Amino acid sequence: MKTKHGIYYQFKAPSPLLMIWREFHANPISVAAYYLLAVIVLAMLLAPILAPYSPEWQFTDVIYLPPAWHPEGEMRFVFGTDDLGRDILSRVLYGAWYSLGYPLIATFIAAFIGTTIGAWAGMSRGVQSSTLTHFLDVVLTIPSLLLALVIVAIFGPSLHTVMIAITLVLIPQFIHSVQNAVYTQRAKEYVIAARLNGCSRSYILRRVIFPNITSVIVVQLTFALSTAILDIAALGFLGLGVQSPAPEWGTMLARSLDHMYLNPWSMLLPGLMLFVTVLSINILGDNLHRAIQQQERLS
Amino acid sequence: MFRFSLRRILLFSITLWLLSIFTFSLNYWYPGNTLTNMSGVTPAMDTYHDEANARAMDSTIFRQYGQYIAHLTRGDWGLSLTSQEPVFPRLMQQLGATVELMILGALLAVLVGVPLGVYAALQQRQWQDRLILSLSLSTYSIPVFWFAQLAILLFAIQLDWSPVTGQIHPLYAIDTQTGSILVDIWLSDIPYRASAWVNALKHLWLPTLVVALIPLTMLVRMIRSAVLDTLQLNHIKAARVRGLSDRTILVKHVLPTSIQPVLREAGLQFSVLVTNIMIVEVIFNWPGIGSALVKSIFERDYPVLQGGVICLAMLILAVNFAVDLIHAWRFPQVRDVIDED
Amino acid sequence: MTRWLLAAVCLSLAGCGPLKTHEQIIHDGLVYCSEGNPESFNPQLDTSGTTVDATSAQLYNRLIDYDAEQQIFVPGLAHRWETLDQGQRYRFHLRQQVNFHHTPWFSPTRPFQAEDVLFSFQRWLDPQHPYHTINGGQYPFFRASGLMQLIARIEIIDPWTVDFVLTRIDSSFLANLATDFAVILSAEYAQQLTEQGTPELLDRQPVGTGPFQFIEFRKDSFIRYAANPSYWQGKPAVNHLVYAITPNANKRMLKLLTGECDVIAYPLVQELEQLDDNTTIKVTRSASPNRAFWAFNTARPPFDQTLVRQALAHAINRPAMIQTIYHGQAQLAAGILPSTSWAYQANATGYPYDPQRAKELLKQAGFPNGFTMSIWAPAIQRVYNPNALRMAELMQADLAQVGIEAQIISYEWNTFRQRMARGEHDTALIGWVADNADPDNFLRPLLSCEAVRSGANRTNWCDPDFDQQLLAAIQLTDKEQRQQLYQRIETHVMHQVPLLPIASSLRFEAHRQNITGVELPPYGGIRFGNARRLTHVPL
Repeated sequence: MKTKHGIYYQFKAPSPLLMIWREFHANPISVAAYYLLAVIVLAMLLAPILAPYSPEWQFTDVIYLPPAWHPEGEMRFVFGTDDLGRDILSRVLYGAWYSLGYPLIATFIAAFIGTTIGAWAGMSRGVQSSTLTHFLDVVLTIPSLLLALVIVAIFGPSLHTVMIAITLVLIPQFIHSVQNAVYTQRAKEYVIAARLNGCSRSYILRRVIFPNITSVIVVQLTFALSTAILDIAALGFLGLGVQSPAPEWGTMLARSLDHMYLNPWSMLLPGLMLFVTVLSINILGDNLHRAIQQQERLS
Repeated sequence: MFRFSLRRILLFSITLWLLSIFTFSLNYWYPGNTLTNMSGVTPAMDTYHDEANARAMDSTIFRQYGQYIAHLTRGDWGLSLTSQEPVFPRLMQQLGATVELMILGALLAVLVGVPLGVYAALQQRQWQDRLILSLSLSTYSIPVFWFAQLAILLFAIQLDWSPVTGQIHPLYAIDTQTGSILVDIWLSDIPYRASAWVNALKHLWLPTLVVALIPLTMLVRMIRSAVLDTLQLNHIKAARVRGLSDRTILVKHVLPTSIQPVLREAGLQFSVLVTNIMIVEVIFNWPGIGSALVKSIFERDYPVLQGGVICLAMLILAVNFAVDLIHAWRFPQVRDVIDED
Repeated sequence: MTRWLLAAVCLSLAGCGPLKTHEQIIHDGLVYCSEGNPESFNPQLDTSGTTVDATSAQLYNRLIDYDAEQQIFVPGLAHRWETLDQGQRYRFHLRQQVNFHHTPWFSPTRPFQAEDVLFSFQRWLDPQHPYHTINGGQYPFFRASGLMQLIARIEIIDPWTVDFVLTRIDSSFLANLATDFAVILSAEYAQQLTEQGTPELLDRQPVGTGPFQFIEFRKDSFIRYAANPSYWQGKPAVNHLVYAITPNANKRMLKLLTGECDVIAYPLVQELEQLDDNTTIKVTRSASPNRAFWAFNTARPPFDQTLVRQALAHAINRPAMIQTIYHGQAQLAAGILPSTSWAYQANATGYPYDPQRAKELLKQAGFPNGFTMSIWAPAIQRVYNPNALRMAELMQADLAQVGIEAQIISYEWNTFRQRMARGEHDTALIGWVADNADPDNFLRPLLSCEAVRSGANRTNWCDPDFDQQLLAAIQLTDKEQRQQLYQRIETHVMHQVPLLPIASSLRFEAHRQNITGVELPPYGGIRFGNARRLTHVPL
């Protein structure tokens, strides 16, 4: 490929990630999901500006207000108010911190730890590696929610516990996929060539193999993120996650059930937000995965 | 196969051993008195000292572990801290209720998911395929607790096709023996079995549907891509060249081969199924292990929690073990791959 | 079509027998959706409303009952009684031909007698009694109401006459005997259990004289009762009574709508109006002598300081709670005694919502920057509080205004009570439903030193002076004098605020239109003895 600048004719192969990105970009649905997710993240970051009220402010004179388009609704509360007269829109916006922000943080921490261990395991051979593989296989079959529940039982329900639980639960997934990816790449000719050139193990790992497995990590990231979001929401829904008055979406959903017969709309927005967020992440991951496969087929 | 099975059995035992060490140490990590967490016997009870002796509490940790295993294998899983009842018999009944939902959910997922996946693959890139794919991706993203509530609102309240919660109308006096309501009705000697069955099925279909939904959509996607991959293989092309009918190729050649990658991921799907069951049991007041487990966390009833964790973990491990064996028995090439490392 | 299908299914099974249809089964029974598990099947052991609802009026009888409408005591297992020795001795003449339940685990050989009365009372009166320590050995009602100290001895005159000798004159004695806790157990059954070596079954596989007998209890699922065929007031119309345990208020409501429940406990207040419109469902509301309050655990600093408690009392907005939590279906509480009590005085002063004053008081107490604390709130509805968790959230926001950071803590109901009895809470949102009409019942079981020992005093506030005055009040027979004394006591308590009264709620119950005869006595649980299902819905 030609670069625009420079006098000489240069050929620079795009990085694997860039090639996948181009493939990915050709699909309108993935692009839509991508922008949707970007909007949600942006809304989360700008919540203090966008939200009309504080998420905890109680307008005790206007409880159970339906959304603005409903005949009984009011314009100042676009999505209505909850049982304590708190603005649902503001709560959902701030709630994104708990339901998207914290899962993101947990996922990145887990990714960092998991990738490090996975890379080490992928580069090592023999008993060490095979024991780890089998052990991981076992751990992965245990539902993450079950492990999270055990951790909550030990430390008691709180935001800290939930974060610890979700991070711990996600780590094995990263170890597993990174280890497999490194293992596959290690046998490839370009790695062998590098080794024959006398490169050190850490150089091979960081500069030779790693660029080629970034895409795997990215797909794993999306997968882990949707797991983290759903698990945190599920814990919140069961009353074992983030505690009130934090406007976490799962907790809001559980609360709204108390009056779902009379006010079904109060379970609409938090549920819908969860659904849309997870859906766009899943579409993103799914199409990335497909783009990677496409690349592999081409090469 | 023999060597493989032996290896797997060994591995399975090691895993169970690791699990037992994990659950044993949990007793020390939970807040409160270790012996109480283990046995449900509180210091206020007369039997406390006997229990402490029986579990070698003032001896080394290894003796304690030995006693823990001895009690576990004897079926003495302690007393519930809230009801003072032995944990084990109750747990077995709850296991029955959970397994019932599990089997029915898995059946539904397979019976609907496999044909749908094959159909989507055969219609690749047609609108039917796209519809099935996008539908499955959307349903896969629905939080199951939200979906369950929407389903209750629609089917139970609006349409009145199903009751809201429970296994059977409480006025049917069915003795709980196995915990599985269908089996219990069959075992009972009540004169109105038929209407009991009808009533139980009315209660059963909605939770089963909710439980099966996500594994079903996963199955559709896996089967679809597996069938697509298989269709590219040479032996399918060869079969086609030999002039076999599409149906024969599909049933005799494509499907058996496509099952392999799906079976490989069966463990993951089962884990998703179990996660859903735990949440669905809470929402539908299903008297299974999942709802007992969640409730025990609220009640700080550690013996029950421990029992639930052990039970579910063992169930999952056993299912995975069985799937591994079937997988290897059906697809011999798998044995070599696994034996290599 | 369905019938054919049924027949086909039926034919394919051996021993299917005569086909009983769904409608028949439903018609034969009644489903009550209750809010939680009973802690025991003997109300002597527990004061929780859930336990009382599930057991007292269904399984047992008392010596006498209280008719709240006519405000008189009516015969129970004692058909006549008289006062002797100027009120120090009460003689009860017992009803004959009353049978205990005939169950698979117990076949009574004799009818109810004085021996059973002796056993039922001696069990908790006498610490040396073989059954005293069985199943916990705590008798919170009898300890807190002072009945334990009041009864000197019980004498059997003949098999159908029994005497209670009191240590002093006490105007609340009969009222206490008529409560749901003073139930009569079978001495013969206890003896059989002792011989079997399983005394703990006395309170788990109960035997009583009540309209229903125990069949099965499955925790978190159901309690099954069957009609007592030889009940002395006549066999109940309902053959099978099932308590379907449904802790979630929303699910109870939905199950009532779909007909899975016939009667539900504690319907959600905000849905009541909706239910009133529904032609298949009937909501009853009645005045109930209850009080929701916020108890401060005075055994823990900083709640041992009166100033801090007063500051907290000023910091929360109670009128807002009446609107959001009770939806206007409750009365704001000024003092401890509810307005239904005869000793109630309208001029009791409360604590108006005043964050500024709260801040000042906090500063005086040495907390200018506030502190952190916990609010314990039960996760299930109570008569006095339809949603304590939500109330706690409301308070959380109010307290934040005066610089106090509050954390909400909740456990499952029985665990909640056990932990509270151990004094693990800072503050708790709970309440009290009177067991009888005597004003003493609102003060002594809640705030006396004796109640601290039994764990029923959630404030752990022990003031010997207060106890002394209570004792003086109970020995007075003149109503006017008593009223004056109670007013003094109340002023004292309100100044100390070991607990802040919040509201008195109406009591609600909702049932399907075709169910009649479910009784909700104001001073007791729920009674199904006279309940029946109508075949045709009355218009």
